[in-house]
Amino acid sequence: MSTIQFYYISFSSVEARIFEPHVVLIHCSNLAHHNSFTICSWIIHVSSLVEFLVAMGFAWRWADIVDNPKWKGLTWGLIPLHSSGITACTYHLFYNHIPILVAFQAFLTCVGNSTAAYAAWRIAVSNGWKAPEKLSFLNGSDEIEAKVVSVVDVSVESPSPMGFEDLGDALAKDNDYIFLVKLFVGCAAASYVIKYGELLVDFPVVANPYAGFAFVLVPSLLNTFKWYKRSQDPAFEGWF
Amino acid sequence: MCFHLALISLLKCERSWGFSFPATNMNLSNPVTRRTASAIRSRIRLDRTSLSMDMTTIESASTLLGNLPSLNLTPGEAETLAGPFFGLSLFPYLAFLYFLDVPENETPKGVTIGFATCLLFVFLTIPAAIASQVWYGVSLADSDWLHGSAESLLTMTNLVTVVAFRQALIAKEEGEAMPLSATSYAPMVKLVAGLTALAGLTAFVPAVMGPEVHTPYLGGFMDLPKDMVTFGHDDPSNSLTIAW
Repeated sequence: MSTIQFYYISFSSVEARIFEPHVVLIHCSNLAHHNSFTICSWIIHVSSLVEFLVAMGFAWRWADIVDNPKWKGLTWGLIPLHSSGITACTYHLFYNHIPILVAFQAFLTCVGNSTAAYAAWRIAVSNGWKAPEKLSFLNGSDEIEAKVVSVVDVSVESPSPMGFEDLGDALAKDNDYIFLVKLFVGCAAASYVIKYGELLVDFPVVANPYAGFAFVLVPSLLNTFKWYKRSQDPAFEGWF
Repeated sequence: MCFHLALISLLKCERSWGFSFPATNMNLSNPVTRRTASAIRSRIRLDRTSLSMDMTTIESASTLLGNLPSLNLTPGEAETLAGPFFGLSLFPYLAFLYFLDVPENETPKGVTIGFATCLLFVFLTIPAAIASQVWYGVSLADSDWLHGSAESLLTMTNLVTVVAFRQALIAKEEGEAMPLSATSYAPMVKLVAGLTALAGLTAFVPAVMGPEVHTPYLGGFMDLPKDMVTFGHDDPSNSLTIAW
C-alpha cells in the first residue's frame, strides 16, 4: 500500500530547538524497497535499451541507403537481443526477485547472438563474400541469391516513421553532442518515472514469474509486430 | 486471451498489484475489488454481443491460470540454467562480428567497434561479479555501485554503435565523404578507451572509499533527496491509497 504525501510538511528535530522542515514526496510502506536502484543505475539501463532500438532503426535505414534489404534482416536478428535487454530490466523492476528471468535472459542472448550472426552472414553473402574453400558450405546457394534480387525489386524506400528507434531520424539534424544530450534527458525522465513510480505504486516484491514474462513478451511482440508492419507497408509509422 | 488476463489481474487486485493469480474465488468483500468488478461487469454487459463473455468465463480462466506450473526457481537453479547459455553465446557473437566486418560489406568500422565493445563489457563484468560475490555474498545485480559501473559499459557499447552508425548514415544521406569513424577503427577505439576509463573510475573511487553492498552508484547523483522518500509500514487507515 503506497501513500503520497504531497507537500506534507513534517518537522523532524534532532533536538527540541532545531526544527528542520522537509517535504515527503513519496512514502513507500515496504521497507525492503529502500535498496532499489539509484536513478543513475536506471539511466544506464534505460539508455542501453533505447540506444539498442535506435541502432536497430539505423540498420533498417542503412538497408535503404545502401540498397541492400539484407541489412533489414539485421534489425530482425537483433530483436531477441533487445528482448534480452527488456528481460534484464524486468528482472530489476521486480527488485531482482524472479530468478527464472536470469535464465530466460541467457537463453535470449544465446538465440539473439545466433540470429545476429545469421543476419550478418546473409549480408556478407549478398555482398559477394566467399568463404575459404574448406568452409564452402558457408557460401549459400544460388537460389538464395535469386531471392535477394526479387526482394530488392519490390523494396521501397521506407519513409521516416515514428518510434524509439526513430529517435535517430527525429534528431538527425542535431550534432552528436546535442543528440546525446537529448537522448540522455529522455532516458533520465523515464528513469524517474520507473524508479519513483514503482515505489509510489508499491510494485510487488514477491512477484509471479508469469507477470515477469508478460512484461517481457508484450513490448517484444509489439516491437516485432511493428517491424513486420513496416516491412509490409513502408509507410507504416508505428505507435511507439 | 490478453483481455482476459487484464480483467483477471484487475479483479484479483486486493491491497496492491495482485500478480499472484491465485486459484481462489474473488474476494468481493474488498470494496475496491467489488467496485472494479461491478464496473467491469457493466462494461461487459454493454458489449455483450461483441465480447460474448461473462464472469464465469473469467473465473474459469482464472482457475486455469492458477493451475499453471510454478516457474519459481531458486537463484541458484536459475544461474545453473543460465550458465551454459551465456557460455555458448560467445561463439555466435564472434561469428556475428566476423561476418559483419568482412570487407565486402563496407560496414562502417566504428559500428563494428561498437558491437565488439560488447565483449569488453562481458569480460569486465566478470571481476565485478566476483567482487560482489566475494565481498558481499550477493549477485552483481544486488550491489548498486558495482552493478551500475559494470552495466555502464553496455551503455557505452550501444552508444558507440549508435554514434558511429549515425555519422555514417548522415554522410551517406547527404552524399558527403564518409566520416573517419566509418573508414578507420581509430576514432571509436579511442572513444571506447576513454569511456572505459571513465567507467573504471566510477568503480575505482568507491572501491578505495570503503564501499558497502548498497553504496549508491555515482553517490546517488540525481536521486531525490533522501528526506523526500520514506519507507516503512504505517497505518493504512490514515494514508491516501493509490488503488490499482
